[in-house]
This record gives sequence, structure tokens and C-alpha cells, in this order.
Amino acid sequence: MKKFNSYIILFFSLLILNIGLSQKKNAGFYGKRFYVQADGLFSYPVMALFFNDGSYYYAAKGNNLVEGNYKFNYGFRLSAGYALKRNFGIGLDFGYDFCRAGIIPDYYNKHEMFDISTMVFVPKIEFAHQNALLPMGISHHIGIGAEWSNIVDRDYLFSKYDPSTGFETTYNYKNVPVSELPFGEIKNIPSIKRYILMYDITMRNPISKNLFISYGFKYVLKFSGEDQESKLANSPNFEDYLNEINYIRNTNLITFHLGLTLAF
Amino acid sequence: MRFLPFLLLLMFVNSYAQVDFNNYTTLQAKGDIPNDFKDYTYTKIANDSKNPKKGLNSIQKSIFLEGTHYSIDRILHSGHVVYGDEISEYVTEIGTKLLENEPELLSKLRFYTIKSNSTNAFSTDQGIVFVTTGLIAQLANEAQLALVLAHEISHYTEKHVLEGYKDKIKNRKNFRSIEELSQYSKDKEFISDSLGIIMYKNAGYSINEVLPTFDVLMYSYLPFDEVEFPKDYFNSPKFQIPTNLFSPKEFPIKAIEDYDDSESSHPNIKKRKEAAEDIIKSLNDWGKNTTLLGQTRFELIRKIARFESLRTDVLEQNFTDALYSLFLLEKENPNSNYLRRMKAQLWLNLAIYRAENKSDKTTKKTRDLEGESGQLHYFIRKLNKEGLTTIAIRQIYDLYKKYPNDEEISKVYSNLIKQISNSKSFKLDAYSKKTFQEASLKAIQYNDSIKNTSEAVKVEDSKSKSKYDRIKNKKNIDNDQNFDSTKFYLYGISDIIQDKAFLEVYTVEIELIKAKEKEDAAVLLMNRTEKKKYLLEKKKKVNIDELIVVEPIFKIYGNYNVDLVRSEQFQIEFSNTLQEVSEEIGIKTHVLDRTAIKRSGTQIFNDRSLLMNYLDQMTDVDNDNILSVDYQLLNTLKSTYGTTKVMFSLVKYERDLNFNPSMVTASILFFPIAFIYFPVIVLTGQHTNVDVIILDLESTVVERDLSIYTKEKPTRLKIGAHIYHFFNSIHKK
Repeated sequence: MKKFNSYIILFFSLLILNIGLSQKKNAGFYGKRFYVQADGLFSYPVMALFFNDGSYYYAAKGNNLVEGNYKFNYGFRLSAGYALKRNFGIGLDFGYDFCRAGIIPDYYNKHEMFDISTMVFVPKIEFAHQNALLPMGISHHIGIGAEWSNIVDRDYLFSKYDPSTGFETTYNYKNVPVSELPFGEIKNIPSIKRYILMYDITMRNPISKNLFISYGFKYVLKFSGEDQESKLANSPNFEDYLNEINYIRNTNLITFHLGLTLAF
Repeated sequence: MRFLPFLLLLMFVNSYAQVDFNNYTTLQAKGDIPNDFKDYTYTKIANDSKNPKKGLNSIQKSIFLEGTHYSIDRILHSGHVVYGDEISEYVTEIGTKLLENEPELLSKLRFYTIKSNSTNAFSTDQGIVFVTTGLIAQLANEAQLALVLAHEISHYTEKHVLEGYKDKIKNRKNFRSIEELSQYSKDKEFISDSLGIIMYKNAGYSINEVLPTFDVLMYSYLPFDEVEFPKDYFNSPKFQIPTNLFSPKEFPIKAIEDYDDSESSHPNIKKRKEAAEDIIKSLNDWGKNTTLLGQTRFELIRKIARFESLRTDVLEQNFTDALYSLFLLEKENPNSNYLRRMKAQLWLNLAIYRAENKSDKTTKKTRDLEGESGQLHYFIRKLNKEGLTTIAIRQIYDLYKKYPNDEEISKVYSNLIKQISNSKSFKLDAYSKKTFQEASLKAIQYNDSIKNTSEAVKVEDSKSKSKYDRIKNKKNIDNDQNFDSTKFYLYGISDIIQDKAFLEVYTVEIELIKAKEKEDAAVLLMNRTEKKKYLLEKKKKVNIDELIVVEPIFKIYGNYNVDLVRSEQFQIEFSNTLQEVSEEIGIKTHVLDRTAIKRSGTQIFNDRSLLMNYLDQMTDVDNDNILSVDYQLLNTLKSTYGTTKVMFSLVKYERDLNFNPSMVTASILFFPIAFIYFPVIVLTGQHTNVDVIILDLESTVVERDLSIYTKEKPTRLKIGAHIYHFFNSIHKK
């Protein structure tokens, strides 16, 4: 974490230095060089669905668990950027991604898919064709950052199969003692951190001298940056959980985003 | 009261006699601006679409209207068309005479002049009749012009443009041959000839001018007169050109009446003459007039057209043709300042074009030479670069010395010195200090003295000199034994190279060039940061507070052609954006566009035409020393608008989703590639080019330019943002 912090400090020092140096050269978009962007993110998990038949993915239907895949991932981003040159800028992405992960305690028992919330933080550089005028038009963003995935703590359903009777009983998290929960208390499950390498192609179409409609595609690669296994060693079924989160996140390669950018 | 008719006549004569050929300026539009020039093309199409077009379905009608209106408007706004001027008024009056009994038809027609050297007249479906100055320059009298106009009016009454379009559609459907299509067109020409002759006869014009009018058309590719070009035309006491540089033989005129017209839109002259003769025979009661408005008036109009012919040749870089026109016009107008200025400009242009190796454009090839002007083409073509530059120096220097107070000639002279100072092939010390006559005389005397000198003396003389002295001697043009008559030009500026004033200016220019070369060499040695800083400093020196903005051009390319309607609509938006952005930045602009023309009328129209012509002239050769052919009028723009900076701009947009087959295949075989490849292609498949230049009318230098290519669809805001950025860089707040 220390290394990561120094990296961010260095990044912002360079930003401030560059702002000073480039102040006079770049008029920006109608004289505006700062911009903030708010985007909604949507992705259809093609890869995950392609390699997964949905056998272990259970969703709640009333008080029952039924087989079924989740349909899409979503999230939001808030970004801030500054155009140092007409075709080069720096910025920062912050936001949350939401997806679902299907993990079962064992072969006989079922569990509702977990809601996974992932906090994302990516400092980035932004560049475009030499004649571009940031933030307007097509720009390419490359960023290196980190993300932290957590299970959303809510009232999940799970079922237990009794081999002796052949019956399956469904329980709510709230109605079951902590000791009976298949993965233990959710708040005790530590977050999973990964480093990410992001490429984003964005089109910002001006609709006024301040406002743009922005849309594009984000491509993200994730790398485990810490000893996740030892961190999660105390959690029951930690290996399944870890694998699933990594799988879901890693196969979510491409995300469409749509939003608004405000220049000032 | 009895003097009233005389006074009226005097007023009338004055109204068209006030053309000052000594200080001639090009034809400009006059009076109220007609709607043809005011309205946007899409408005015209919308109005015209209410009129029925028999035989066309709605799609064909829309294509026809779009095609005709936009092509006509392109001509109207080309910068070469004028209205209300002396020629257009004259042509309108002849049109009125022709249609004296048909006021309704007359009210539908408008007559405009195109400043072009092609010998042409044509009418449009909208009722516009265009006549070129090239045609009028060739004609012998008013009757001939009346016949041409009657022919064009008949095309209009017979709706031949629409009929021609229908023929094209039929041809596409039935795959007819070019010959067949050409025959349809020829038939229309015969009809127009016959109806035109009847109209011409009814107006009272002479039978004797019908057939000669066809001769005018046949020989119209030749200059407006055929006068022998004297071989001593360029000679003076200080400059001699050997006659062997001219062709020993004449250049026959090759035009024949019965040429192959199988693929031509018009029948050949023989057939037209034969058909015309038949019609003439069938008509009785012919008038005897070769003019109804007076021969003096016609000659004045023709003289204007001939002056325009000279200007157009300079504008279109036909410098040798222009020289011949100048030679013809000089005979009648020996005191014309305009002709002197044109002469100076012509020689400067010839020197520049030869230096830039573009002289092929300015002269014809020997095999294409015909008539008396062929001699001049032959001579200019045969001259080498040095020879031509020397004649240019001689001619311009003589004009400058004779008319030192003429600003335009002085400017040409100063630009000539800049040009030769910058030329690697021009070496002042290569020139002799003797005139051709002096040098040739000395050479004769030297040869005679050699003959009389004994061999022993020659050997002794030779021994007394070193090898280097002998080399220097051979190189010295002023040595009597080195006289070379083929290099006649080296003896052509002996007085100029000894003129202190000339040498002073020349030396200053050489110093400036050396300083510039030094600066350029230093820039080459700079590292990237230094170079950036240097360029930025250079840019900072430009500060523009006020600009003349010539109508921006916007072209949106559709699937096959330019999408004319959208292009025009975007063009209007672009123009508005330019004004809006310039106001934000604090640059005062004078936009010369269709909206301004509509609002302010003829003055803006004329100014825009001048500047468009100026751009045409400047874009052909990248040389700051070329002067505008309308130098005098351009100078007035400075005082009208209070600035010498002019902006020209062009935006082009094309949508092209260019999918690479190998990438598509790769995407099918390994589908994750598709997630990257297709979005990128869709997002980047738009191509927009924005080109802007700011020219300084005074220095003729491009002060700043902007050339931007983006992969985006152009919108008002996007283009505005780029212009904002550009304006911000040229204006210090």
C-alpha cells in the first residue's frame, strides 16, 4: 500500500508541475481544461457465461433458490481530468463495480449468488490524435490502479441438503446463528485487492460549450498484488470464494460506459 | 428645351463611356444584388420544386433540381461572375432588343457575365444566360453577339437542359451509345440555331453576320486578334535578342470546318453553317443592322472584354497568351498604366514560374502552336531560365525607372529583386558590363587584332600569364575573346548591374537571405525543447485583432458525391460559428459570406470575389513574390476593412467505416478481438479535415495556418472549439 501511495503522490506532483508549464500553450475546449465525468458502466459477461453452464449459480426466487446466470454487470465512475496539452491529459477514475459470484459451500448445498461490490481507483493518462482538443472527441486512456472487492453484506438465502431424508431446506442468513452460516459472518470476510491495468477508448461529443455526452469501452486486466490466500485462510471455503471472485473479475474484460462530462 | 434630347444623349453616352482604360480595374458587379446571388441554394431548390418538371418522377426531379441549382450557384459564387456591370448591362439590352415583342419571356431571363477566356455562352433551366468575356473579346460586332444570345434564349424556351437530363436517364436505361446521345444534343443545337436565327432576324439584324458568327466560334481558340509579333519587340539600345531565337517558319492555323463531331455535343461548323444557310433562305425581309446599340458602344464593350482577357490569362497562369494580348492592346492603348502594370506582373510571374520549373503551364508545346501568337510561345519556350530571368529584369527595371511613382510597378520591382536574390542560378558577376552591341563590336575588333598578331607574340603573351590567370580570363565575360552571342542575355543588363540603387537593394536582400539561412541552420542544430521554444516565440509574434473572413467552404462527402444540401447548411453554421468564436476571443471579423451578401449587397459580393480570385492565384505557386492581378483593388480593401489579414477556410468530412478483411476474419476466428476491433472502427470511422490559412494582403505571406485532421463527425461546437483554439493562438488579449 505504501508503494501505491507514493506512486499516487508522484503522479499528482507531476500533474501540478505540468499544469504550471502548460498553462500558456493550451487553450483547451473553449478555454476550459478541467473536466469531470460521471459514467454508468454496463457489461455483459460474455466470457463468464461462455465458459459457465450456470450449474452453481443460484438466484433467489421468493424463498427458493433456482438455477440461473446473472445477466450483466454494472457500476459507475467518477473521473476528473486535466488537459495538459491539446492532445494529452491526466486524470483519476474512482468508482464502484457490481457483479455477482456463484459460490457453493459444497457439492450438496446451494447458496444464493453473492453480490460483489468492487471499489476502483485508477490514476490515468489520457491521449488523443495530435490534432485533438481534449476533452473533446476520441481519447485513449491508460491507467494503472487498484481495486478492492467485497461481498455485500445482506440477507442471502442458502439451502442445506439432508442426505438421510433426501430433503432440502432453505434458510435466510438473518434467521440462522452465525455458527451455522456456510461462509461465516460476511463482514469478517476480508476484501480482495488486485492491481489493474486499464485501457479505455472514450468519445466525448459536445452538446454545449461545457457539457459532453461521453461513451466508450473500457478494457481492464487484473493482477493479484498480495498474498490473497493467506489473507483469506481463516475464511471457510476461501479457495472457492477467491477463485470465483478472480474469475468473475478477470473475465469481465470489456465494459461499455455512458455518461456526461462537464468541462470548466 | 430643344437641347434636352442632346443632353439625354450625352448622359447616355457618358454612362457607358466612363471606363478609364489607363487605370483599368477589373469588372465588378454594380447596383442592386439580384436574388440569384442572394438566396441560399437549398431555398432556390425548395421554391423551384413547386414548378412541374414534365416527364420526371419525384426522385428524378429532386436530383435534377439539386444538380442544376448547385452547379449554377457554384458558377455564380465562383468569384468570376458579375452582374450590373458594363458588359452584363449591354448584353441585357441586346436581349431586350431580341425579345421586344415577348416581354413575358424577357421578364424571366437574367444576363450575367463570366470573366473567362473560354469562348462561351450558355443558358440555364432557371433562366440565367451567361456570356463569357472571352466570347465578347472575339466578336466583330453586336449582331454576332445578338445571334449567340438568340441561340441561348432558344435553348431556354425549348427547355433543353431538362430535355438533356431526360435523354441521359433514357440512355442509362437503354444503354445507348455516346454517338446516339451526342446526336440528341446536336439536334437541340440545330433547333436552337434555327429558332435563334429567326429571333435574330425579327430584331432587325443583318443577314450578313449569321455565317461569320460560326467562323468566330471556329477560330475562338486563337487570341482575339491575329497580328504579326515583331521579332524586335523586346529589343532596346541596351538589350538585343538574336532573331534566331524565333521560329524561321510560320505556324499555320489548323482549324477546319468539317471536323469529326460524332462524339461531340455540338455539330461541326460546316453542318451548322449549311443548316443556317437553309434557314436564311427560307426567311424574307431581313434587316441590315450590324448594330442596334451603336458600333462605338460595342467596341467599348469589346475593349473591356479584351482587357479582361489579359487579366484572366494572368490569373490562370497563361502568361505567354497574356503577353500576346498585352502586345495587341498596347497598340491601341500606349499610355495605359494598367497595361504597364500587367506587363511588369507578367514578367515577374514568368521569371517565378520558370524558376519553379512550372513554365510548361505558361507556354504551349511547339506542335500545338498556331497563328501569330505561336511565334511568342516558341520564343518563350526556347529561352533558358537565365535568359528569361534577364528579360524579366530588363523589362521590369525599365518600367520602374520610367514610372518610379507607380506603387504597383515599384512593388513588382522590389519583389523581382527578392526573387533573383533568392535564386541559386542568378549570379550578378556572370553578367557583362558591356551591352550586346559593345561586346560584339569589341569581339570583332579582337578577332581582327588576333589575325594581325604574329605567332611569336601570341606565344610570348601566353607565357607571361599563369595557368590561373588564363582560367580567370576564360571565365571573365568582359574579355573580348569570350564573347558568346548565344548568351545574349548576359549583355542585357549591363547598366542595371552598375546602378548603385539597384545594387544597394540587391545587397540588402542578399544579407537578409544570409541571415535567414543562418537562422535556419541554427534551428536545425537545436534540440527538441529549444526548437519548440523557438517556434513558440515565433508564433507569439503574430497578433491579429481584426480579420477579413472569406466565406468558409464546407464539404460533406456522401456515398458517391458531395452531399450538396447538407454541405451548404453546415457551411452557414460554420460561418456563424466563426463569428461567434471570434467575438469570444476578441477578434473583430468581417465575414464575407452569403449571409453578409444578402444583408449588405454588392460591395461584399465584389470584395469576396476579389479575395477568391486572389486565393486562386496564390495557391498555384508557393511563392510570396507573386502579386495579385487585382493589386489596385485589393489595396482598397485595406482601407475598407482596416486590416490586411484575410482568412480562408475549408472543412471536409467523410464517413468511411473501413473494415480490414483480415481483422474481420481474425475477429470471427477469435471472437474477443471483435470486442476491441469493431468498437474502434465504429468510433474512428469519421474523417474531418479543417484547413485554415491567414494571408497578409500587404506582404502576401501566409501569416498563420491551421491544418487539422480528426476522426470525428464535424459539428458546430467541435469545429468552433478548434477555431477557438486557433484564434486564441493568434490573438493576444
